[in-house]
Amino acid sequence: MFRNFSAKLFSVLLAALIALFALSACSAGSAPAPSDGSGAASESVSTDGAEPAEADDSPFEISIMTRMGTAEAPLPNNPVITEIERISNTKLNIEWVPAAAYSEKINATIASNDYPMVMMLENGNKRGTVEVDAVRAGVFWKVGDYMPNFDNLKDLDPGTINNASIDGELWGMFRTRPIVRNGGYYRSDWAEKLGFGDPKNLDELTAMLRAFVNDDPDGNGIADTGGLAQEQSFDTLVPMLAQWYGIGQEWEIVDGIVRPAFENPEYINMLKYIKMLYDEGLMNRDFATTEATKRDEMMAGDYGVALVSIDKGDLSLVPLQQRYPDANFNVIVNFADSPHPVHGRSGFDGLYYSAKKAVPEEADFLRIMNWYNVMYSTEVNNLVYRGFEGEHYTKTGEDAVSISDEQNAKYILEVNPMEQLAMRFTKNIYKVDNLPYYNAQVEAFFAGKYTGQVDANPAFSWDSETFNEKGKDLETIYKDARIKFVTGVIDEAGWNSEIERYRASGGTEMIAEYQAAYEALK
Amino acid sequence: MGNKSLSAKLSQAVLIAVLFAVSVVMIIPILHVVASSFSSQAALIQSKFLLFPTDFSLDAYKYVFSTSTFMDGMKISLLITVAGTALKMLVTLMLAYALAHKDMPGRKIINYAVLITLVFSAGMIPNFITFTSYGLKNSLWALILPALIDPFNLIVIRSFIQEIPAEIEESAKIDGANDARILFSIIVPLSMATIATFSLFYAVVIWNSYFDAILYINEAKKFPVQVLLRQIILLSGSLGDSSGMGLDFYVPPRTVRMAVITAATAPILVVYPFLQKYFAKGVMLGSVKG
Repeated sequence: MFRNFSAKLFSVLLAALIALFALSACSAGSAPAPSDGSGAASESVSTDGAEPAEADDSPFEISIMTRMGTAEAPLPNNPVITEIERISNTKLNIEWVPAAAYSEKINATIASNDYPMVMMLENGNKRGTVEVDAVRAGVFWKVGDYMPNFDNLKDLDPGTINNASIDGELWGMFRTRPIVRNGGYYRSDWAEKLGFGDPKNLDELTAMLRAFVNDDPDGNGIADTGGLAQEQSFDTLVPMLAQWYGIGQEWEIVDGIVRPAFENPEYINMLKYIKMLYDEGLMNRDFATTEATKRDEMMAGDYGVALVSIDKGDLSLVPLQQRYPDANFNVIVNFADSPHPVHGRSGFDGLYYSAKKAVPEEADFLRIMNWYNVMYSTEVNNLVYRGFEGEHYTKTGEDAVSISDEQNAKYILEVNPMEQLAMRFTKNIYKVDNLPYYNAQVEAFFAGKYTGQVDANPAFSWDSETFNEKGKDLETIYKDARIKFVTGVIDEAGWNSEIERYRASGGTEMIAEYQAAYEALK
Repeated sequence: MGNKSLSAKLSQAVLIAVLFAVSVVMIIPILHVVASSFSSQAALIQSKFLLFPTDFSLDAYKYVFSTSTFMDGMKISLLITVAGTALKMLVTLMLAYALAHKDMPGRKIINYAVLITLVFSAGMIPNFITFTSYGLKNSLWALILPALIDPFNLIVIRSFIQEIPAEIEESAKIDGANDARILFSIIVPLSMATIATFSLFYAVVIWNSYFDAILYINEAKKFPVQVLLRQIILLSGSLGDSSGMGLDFYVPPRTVRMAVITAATAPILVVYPFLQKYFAKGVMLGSVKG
């Protein structure tokens, strides 16, 4: 009986081992195994860039590491990539790294000194330590020195260049993104019915919220509507209100003194306003446990106002109109009566860097710069944002397109992932007709509506050792305190003692370091 | 006597009620996920149902299977789970058997060498540099070979093997069996319950892993299914936040997320009933007589 059993077990183990060897055959490390006919697409590029390729006209091979922002990676024979390769005479070997662990992959790549020729480094609200350290260690080519020689790179927005710089120099090509995104949207059909227009000031917004909650805007005779749809993070709510109260974005400089925005005397008034919304039931009382993903569902008929990025309105509109075809939103960026500027963003999202180790020859780096030059052209940006005419969209005007369901399905697979390669944001990018809010904002932005009145986060490119060490923990202190104050767990004295705790836990050092950084760059 | 049995019955009833309540609390969310995956998006948004979709629809599954990404991921997951579990189990068993013997030379040092990894670990980047220097980059081996032995599993299996009466081994030795023969013909059959349990532990860990895959694998076609799942869940969160002016705020509908969760969890759940019988078996009954 034992023998029988062990024979069985052995055969299982044997089968498993065979499977293992089969596995090794199809994944043997560096062995180039061009599968699925895509030919050289999967061949590994010499990351040490050994062969200089100045003289000949053959496509220049560039290995790229970037983020995968979609569910699926593009296939190797993606038509958009092929077209970019054709226009720029390159051969692109793109490694799509899932967003779930992008920064870890970047850290590991930098630590192991095994660079692709071009790699994208992310930076959300703040420059990463790894990025700053690598730049200071002289790992990357300084693109700023070369930009004036390229047509599409020489006149980029100086404000964005400044934000994207480290120690006053530009080391990577940034991906330009909209500067104004904060704001919100509300149910315009409800507002119209109850006699409201765009809220011009905070009182009008409050009145609108009260009416949405109490005056049965959907006319079904049941009190089943809500005011503000809010999720646990105040990060999207605060900018809109802070604009009204004249509070800076995260940090502010008053008479040459750097201070965190929550030390602005108006900050507590803003929190009191949010607390009033909470106490009166003008926002969902379970906001503290509501995830951001819930918001679209809440706005699909039950709630009237969302204060988040303006372009989220287009996304929320789809489920809403599935339920109520006549429902609609209006977008607000800043209260018309507001004396204060809108909060702007850095103007870019991530930069592409080239490590000298992967691109040792200047001639090769110039070919990469040439590729950036192509990537910054309107032609290529329309390609990466919109795809091919006929296949992914139909032209309906000079700069306008519409996308059918069939085209959209193709768009999601073939074009959507390419957004990670989109380098430039210009008014000539085709507008999609079913994104009304977004287009309106883009138009307003390029019409100069917000020119000179954008107030950016001054600390974006400042360096602080304390922030790098425990900036996140410090943020948590005041962000948690905000929620506790709004829900009534702590009062104003409690809020102040939390701020004391913030200062005692390293906030004081961080403020001093920022002050020094501000003075050094002044 | 009657009283006692009544109170015993009562406590039994309370126990059952509590366990029932606990299992309901755990099962309902799972059932809701499954039900959601078979619903239309519109019905789900209005939260019309808890356990039975009011508007039955296979759209989510049609979408999931509309490209080969999901099935390719499943194949990779299956491959690394089966191969990885077999290899890990084999190595763990062999070491556990060796360490179960007190007369094994160098036993203490090996024991400590394994145990130390329970407490200390080098961290992601040293691991990454080490494993890529072995040529494991972009190889599925990178998802199997690191951490072949889980020290906790090893300790438990070792103690289990130690409890097998020495007489069994002695009798095999008298019959002329060598160590390998004793391990595979005697110890392994006696330990089937243990092996089944720990194989499951290994399998679930490999099946659920996505982080190593992102770190070590460069080509998207070699990603296990969990990477896709992770990516879809992230997309529904804040991923699109730094968007440009594209349509990049395409978010897979919630039904699709539920369908991917359901389809990606089903294979590993299916394994449980097949292993059930091993959990319940009394392995050592009657092995030593007289």
